[in-house]
Amino acid sequence: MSAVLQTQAEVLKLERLLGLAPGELEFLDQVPAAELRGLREKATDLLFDTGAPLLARLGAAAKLLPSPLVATVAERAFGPLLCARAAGSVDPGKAIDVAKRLSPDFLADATVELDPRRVAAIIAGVPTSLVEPVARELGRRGEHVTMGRFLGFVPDASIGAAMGALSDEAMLRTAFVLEHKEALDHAVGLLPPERLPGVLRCAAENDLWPEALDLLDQLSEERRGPIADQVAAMEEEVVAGLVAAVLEADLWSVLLPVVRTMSPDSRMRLASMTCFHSEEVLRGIVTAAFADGLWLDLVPLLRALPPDAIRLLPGVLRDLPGAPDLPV
Amino acid sequence: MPEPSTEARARLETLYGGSLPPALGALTEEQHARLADAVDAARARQKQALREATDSGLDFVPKLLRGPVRKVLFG
Repeated sequence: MSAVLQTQAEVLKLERLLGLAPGELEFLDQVPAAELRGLREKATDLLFDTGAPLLARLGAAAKLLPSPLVATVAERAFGPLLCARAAGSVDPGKAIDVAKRLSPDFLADATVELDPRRVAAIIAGVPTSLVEPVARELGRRGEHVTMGRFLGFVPDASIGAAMGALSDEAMLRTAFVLEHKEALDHAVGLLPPERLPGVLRCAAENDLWPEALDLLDQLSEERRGPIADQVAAMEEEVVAGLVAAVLEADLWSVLLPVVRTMSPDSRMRLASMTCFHSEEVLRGIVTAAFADGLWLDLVPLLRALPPDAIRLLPGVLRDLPGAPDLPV
Repeated sequence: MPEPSTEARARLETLYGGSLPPALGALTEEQHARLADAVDAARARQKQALREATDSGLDFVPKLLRGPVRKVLFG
């Protein structure tokens, strides 16, 4: 994931935690993601430790009452914020038994406020019959940051149920803000293959190419290759949209490894598209390769370019001091 | 009275548990204040919500159980 995208995702998460509208912390867009994540974790701890003794006593009180009554009190009096904060103090078995009696709407509200690190044992035991309606509701509300915080803590069956309930757009946006990106490759493997073209088309139709490229960036080469081939198989107009998005957000260092994992035929098809044949685009590609040490990713793309486009390269390289001779 | 910016930065450093890392530390005074205020506001909202919810929650507990529950909650 590029540094720019990482920071964007972290700013979104911090805004969500602090109850701010997207964009209110836009001034943090130059701060490295690691610094923002550190700040967010400290703020999360502060919020969860606020009223901790009372929360612990609430958890103890829940033990005294039957689950249907706890569910009634939870939904009608305590509300989602208090339930989410107290959940970590409740016995996991009891918490799951109570959760089964709560409405998906209420559970979605509470999920937004949960810290998955503190309720991992509860999350792991929630049945898929409950995960699905809650995921659907969170997706409907656009709570991608919330869902993105949970993937690292839920079992495969729940991931499958949640992804089945999400639209392609919700899935892309959730993947973008995912807390544990290392789990993404495995999660994509749980997707039925017939969904992938829809996800890519959704990226094209909703201006979500940065999110889609970030998703591809997280995948193993084995999983990324076939998806990259599907990108190359899209209409030239769609690929032109991808190139424009990459140009605008300077995401060449994310696109190049995707191109490298394509089959030779797909790469030839992609490189033949006129949207790649401008000095501006080629300069972006070569500059990114130079800056990020991606020469090995660059060469297969340059080799696939048609002669007309290759003729532009000397001009591009002339502007790039220190660029090595390319074997094109 | 300390300058608002210095005070805001100090609040963030307290939250962070030490000096702010380079990029966060390099934010403007006004940006430090906006960030620190946002954290404080979120905390205040949560405190208020917890207080209100605990107060009203006991009304839903049957009278017979209210005593033991109150004892666990408030000692």
